Amino acid sequence: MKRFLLILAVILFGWNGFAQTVVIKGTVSDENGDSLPSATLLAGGDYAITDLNGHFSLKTKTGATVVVSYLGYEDYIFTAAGNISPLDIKMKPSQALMLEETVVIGYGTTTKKETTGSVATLKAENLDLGSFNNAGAMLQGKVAGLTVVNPDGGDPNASYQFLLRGTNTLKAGQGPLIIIDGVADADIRNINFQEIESVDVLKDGSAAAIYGTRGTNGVIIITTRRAHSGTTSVEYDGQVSVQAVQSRAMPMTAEEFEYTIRNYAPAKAGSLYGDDTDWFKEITRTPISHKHSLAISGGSEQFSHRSVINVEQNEGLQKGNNASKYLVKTNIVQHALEGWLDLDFHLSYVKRVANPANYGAFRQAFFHNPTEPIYDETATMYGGYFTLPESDYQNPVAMIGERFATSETSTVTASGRATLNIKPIPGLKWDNFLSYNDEKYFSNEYKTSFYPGSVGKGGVAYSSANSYDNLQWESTLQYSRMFGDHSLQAILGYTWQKQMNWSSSMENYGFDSDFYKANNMGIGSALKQGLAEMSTNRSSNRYIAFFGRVLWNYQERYLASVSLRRDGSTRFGKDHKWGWFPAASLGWRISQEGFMKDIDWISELKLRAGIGVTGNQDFSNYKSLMLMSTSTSFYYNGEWINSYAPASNANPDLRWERKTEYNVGVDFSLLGGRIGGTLDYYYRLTTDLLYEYNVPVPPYDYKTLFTNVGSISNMGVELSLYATPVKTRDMVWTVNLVAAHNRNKLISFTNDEFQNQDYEIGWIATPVGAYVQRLIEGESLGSFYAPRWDYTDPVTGRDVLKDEFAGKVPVAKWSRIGSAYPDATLGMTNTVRYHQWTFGLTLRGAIGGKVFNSYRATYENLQQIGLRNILSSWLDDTTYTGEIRYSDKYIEDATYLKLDNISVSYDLPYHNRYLHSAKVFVTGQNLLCLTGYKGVDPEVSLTGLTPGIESTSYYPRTMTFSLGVNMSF
Amino acid sequence: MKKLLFTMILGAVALSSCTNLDEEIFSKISKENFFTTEEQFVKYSARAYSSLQHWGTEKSLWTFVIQNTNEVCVPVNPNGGWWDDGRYNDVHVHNIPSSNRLLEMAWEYWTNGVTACNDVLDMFDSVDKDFAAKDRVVAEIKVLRAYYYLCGIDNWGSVPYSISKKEKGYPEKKDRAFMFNFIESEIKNNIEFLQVEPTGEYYGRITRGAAEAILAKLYLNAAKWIGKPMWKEAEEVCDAIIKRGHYRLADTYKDNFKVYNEFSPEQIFAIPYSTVYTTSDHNAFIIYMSTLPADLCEPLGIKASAWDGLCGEPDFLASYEEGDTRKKDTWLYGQIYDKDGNPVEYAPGVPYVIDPYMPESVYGKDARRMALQGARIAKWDYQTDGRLTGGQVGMDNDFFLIRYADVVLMYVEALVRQNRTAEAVAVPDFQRIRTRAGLQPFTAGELTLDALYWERAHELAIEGWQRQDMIRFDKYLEAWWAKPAKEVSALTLPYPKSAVAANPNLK
Repeated sequence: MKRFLLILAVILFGWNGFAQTVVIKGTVSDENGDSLPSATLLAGGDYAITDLNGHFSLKTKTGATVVVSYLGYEDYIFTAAGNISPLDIKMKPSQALMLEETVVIGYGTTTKKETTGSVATLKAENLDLGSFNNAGAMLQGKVAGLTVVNPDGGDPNASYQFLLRGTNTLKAGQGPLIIIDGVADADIRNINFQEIESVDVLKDGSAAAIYGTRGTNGVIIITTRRAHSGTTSVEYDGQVSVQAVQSRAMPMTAEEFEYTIRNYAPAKAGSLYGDDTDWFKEITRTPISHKHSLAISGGSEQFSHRSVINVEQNEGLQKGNNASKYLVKTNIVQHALEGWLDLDFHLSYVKRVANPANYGAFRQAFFHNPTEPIYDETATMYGGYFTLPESDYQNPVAMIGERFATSETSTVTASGRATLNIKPIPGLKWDNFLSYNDEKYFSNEYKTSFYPGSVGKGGVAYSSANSYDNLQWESTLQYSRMFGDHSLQAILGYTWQKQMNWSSSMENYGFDSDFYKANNMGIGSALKQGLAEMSTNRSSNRYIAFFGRVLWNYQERYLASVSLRRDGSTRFGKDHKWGWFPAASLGWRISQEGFMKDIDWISELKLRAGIGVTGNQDFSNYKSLMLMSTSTSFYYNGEWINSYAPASNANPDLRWERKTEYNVGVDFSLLGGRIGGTLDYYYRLTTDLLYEYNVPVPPYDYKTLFTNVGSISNMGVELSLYATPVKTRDMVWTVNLVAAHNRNKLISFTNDEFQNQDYEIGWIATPVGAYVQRLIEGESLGSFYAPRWDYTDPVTGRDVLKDEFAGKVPVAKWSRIGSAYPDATLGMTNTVRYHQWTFGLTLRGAIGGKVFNSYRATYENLQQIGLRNILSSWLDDTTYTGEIRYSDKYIEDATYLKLDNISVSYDLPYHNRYLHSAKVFVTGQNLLCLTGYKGVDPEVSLTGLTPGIESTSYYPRTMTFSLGVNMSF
Repeated sequence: MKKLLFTMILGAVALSSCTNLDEEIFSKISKENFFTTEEQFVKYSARAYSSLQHWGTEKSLWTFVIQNTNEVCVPVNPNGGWWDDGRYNDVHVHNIPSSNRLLEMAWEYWTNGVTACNDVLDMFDSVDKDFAAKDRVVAEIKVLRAYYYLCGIDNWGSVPYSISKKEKGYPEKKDRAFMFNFIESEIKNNIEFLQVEPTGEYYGRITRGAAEAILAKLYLNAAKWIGKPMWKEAEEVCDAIIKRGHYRLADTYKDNFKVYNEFSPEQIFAIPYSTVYTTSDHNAFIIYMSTLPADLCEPLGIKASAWDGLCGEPDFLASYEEGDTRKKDTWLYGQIYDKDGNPVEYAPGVPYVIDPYMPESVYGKDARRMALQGARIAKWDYQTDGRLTGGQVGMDNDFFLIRYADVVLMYVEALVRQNRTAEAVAVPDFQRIRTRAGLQPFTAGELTLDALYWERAHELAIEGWQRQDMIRFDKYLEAWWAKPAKEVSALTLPYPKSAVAANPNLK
């Protein structure tokens, strides 16, 4: 309590420093002494820009931190003093100084040159301009080995999937651990993309092992913009964007449908209803979105703050599908007790409001008969919608018009870091970080009395609420010191985290009127009849860890890092709660050696090697316990009672999946930093893989047992290159290129106990009716198997397959067609700065890999026409009239090149004491996809056990065009 | 800010247990906390019984066997629905791939049942607590398990044998002879512990009568299953049920199939269903959704749009004798009347008249049945109180797995098989079954095996025994409506793919 009062006192009184106005003059020049025009100087809210001869004059206050920036050069920082003579500021090219760049390595930071693990660092300027609903999108194609996929197309509520260095698990989670401003397991949707200051990706085992059981899938550490001292500055960012369909599956038009039936399937003429409806058009619109962000920052050396307000309103392509976000966030930095205590607080409130899309409506709109009318006045039972009451066949317009859904997620995150600098021992500090995250989710859905599929129920209302609490505490003792040529940084820590979930749901139906929607749920008649549903559920889990790490280097030439973590989780079997996770890595900066001194063109050359062990515990709670839950009701002695049954097949031996990773790498920088990069090779082996094994019923209670059996490996090469091909006074062109290759191999999948497994996976529902992938020991996950397509018999119209016997190809004779995973993934970011103009161009691609074209397999088939529509592309080859026969014809090459982003921005050369800077930009996102793939988009989900299968319940891909402005006052 | 700091300090204090990793459980319950009273034991045994409720769902052993016989067919409907990659067709024409979904669900009915029984028995064994009715409940569950195994050997022949979940290995495949002995001895060893008088408390549970009736089913099929006729044993066990006089024929046939049929004196082994308590895809009795056309729902007082699939087979409809009231009591055809008794119109001026005799040409992948074609299942009365609202909202009618009329017919068959036809026609309840259906009593000359086969078929139509009966009367391999004749191998069903994947002993 005493400390608390002290803190409060410091907050209240600590920040009124005295400052005088001062005018600083000088010149800014490059490393050769040539003057740099249009370099900017920023001191809090004060601002200046150099003229053609590199001269400047900045009016600010004494004590202010002045930052001098010029594209391609490292920022030059100095403090404004009272009586200062004209300054001659020499800027250093930034590529050379990238070595000094801060790298966040988890529970601490180091510099690029001292890093021994495989860590990728992105700064704000490496990210694209544009309009992003989800900050995850900004990482697409930016980090070698990190695949970021959006399987949900243009849905403004879409989530992004991350896959780092291949698939390393069968059934546990594949997402990396995301840490935002120190808070583990944070939600990337809760930040404003414009606030990202840096993103650090811990890729290899030696870097991630410090996060123990959650390190297997890598760690993404996001740092948002923080408070800095300086006079008050106000920044505004805004964008308006509009979307258009980039690609979708094309069904037959009414005309084509009728033509096809009349000419090729006359028996189905009963399905011609004479109308002409474009169902897709009926449920979509041109979405317009806008986003605004206002940030205020400032403060003194002792106390500074940064506060942000962010408002977004995003429309989706589907009618009624929206997403909005309201965010308020404050960061306060306070230094107190004469350097003994540093305090850093983050407080944020985010509210996300969504009208979720009805994915089923897109699917229905695709195959809905285009000759049906939308409405039918006589169909009063169906609310005037034309309706054929078949299962899985619903009027898409009714699905949109008769459903009302909203969800709200409110998240409060509060975190505080108190660092005690134990001054008598230089370099020693005790750091405590406490964070609390409270997320409340609430959703409502109402399907009116005319919603297809629930006609007759008198309107169905759903309401659900979830609460998620995440409390964590980290306490670390850190020591860093130079001893002559030796540099040492050591840390010892303890961390404790508890996650608590509570959820509830209600369902009721039979309402007197559709007016109430889900806002008066008690009056539905189903509740009185005992047919309403109500449930609540609560669960919790805890992690505890002890960890330590030592970083050592000699003359910044020989580097070493050793860490050890003892990690525990409630989720595992009672004898397997704790595990050890060690790691070690070494680095040798050859460029520091004496014999390298004379080689001018090599500015940096470092060899790295590391090994580390990590785990995975991303699965649901209570899997190891034998618990009982209520089962179906039973009529006993005149009344219905609950029966009880085991909740699942309990596995008391449940333990960690364990991944060991070896990584070797080279970091280099040539020609004075004009070109440089990183090359890594890794081998990761995951053992004790968790999988839902088929077990016989009886004796087991349920068909699968979640247990540790197999092992899997991933091996790959990653290359990141940066270059500045053109660098003149007028123009700077920088290129960043990332490329990665990964080879996945399922080493074993069975053991003595679990030997006979269902290796066929990836079931494609009828009418295709085939398992398209197999789990085979020695092969990659995502391996497609199919009979080979031979030709289409022009007489019978039937697909003829190779090795057919009696009209079938036995499953044993199917061929391996390839894997869903690409051979290589590529990303390229270009930035060209020409005077006030900046042009950006981002390309992303993948080479190799297969994708199963579900749409073609199911709907490029004449026999499916009738009740349902088929793909217009069937008309390209009308000789094929036979039944659907699964074959490699539908497993297509997924190679693609995408134009992700083009941007043009213009820095207004107009500044005064009120407007410090202003930038206007235009961007186009997701503009083009060059591919031979005949489906919607070859970039489909690559996570999970059955990657590379295009979903038929998809949200169409959209292009986004945005107009934006950044202003600083 | 103050609140935040306060929370943080409070939080830090709360973290005193720094290495404790015991799980906190909230919404499920552990064994130790559960078994405290006798009532909890009964509640736990209920899961073995509630597994029976799967019987009436859209995909179950029941819906499988009625489509596998000459009773029910599923032609593609007028909108083009119900082909579903030939899943129904395969069952109908006896060409069933191991991946067939209906086959898998049929298998799960009885294997889940056995599993539940094993679990209950193991649980009773492991909890060190006794209660008064324990012997009786244990006996019930053992006989119930014998019934589930009977379903297994009836349809699949050899089956995996597992009687305790403690044995975690792959269960061995046992042939019919082994399982036959197991079922017989389980019933015989436990029958003395069972409730004799079928009072209301024991409705839906295994009583002595139910156990004997299951045993009768076993003996009746012994000739086919293990090559050893046991007609005498079948006769005796049926006779015991009849003599004890706890059951009698209901006054009308329909009493057995009413919405609230639990008071029928004919029920011996029933699955209670409820519009409220059995409403999910694994326990709802929803035959109305599978069979009725959507446009008949409203006239019949049903607030749903049903799926228009299952139809009566024309040959079966044609097989009824003139005047057999069970035809109208089982099927919906001819002029349709609404719930108030008024004739329904299909379209203005067009009466809603269903033709049950559709030609074979409407059957097949590229063919379609027309509207107003195909009799529908109407054996279980459709409740008109508006509570049937579609989806998985199940009917309130209970399903009688075994009823007294079946026992009487089994008794008669056992006599006829022993060439005691004269005794058979003298069984009063047998002739009452005939007269209840508006037919003349059988004379000894008329009562051939063939006549008895059709009598069973009509009396017990779509109640789930026809497949077994067709095999016993050598009818199963013959051709019938849109189904070709088959070879002997079709007498048992293939193991579902998923079952083989989980147990190599089934390969």
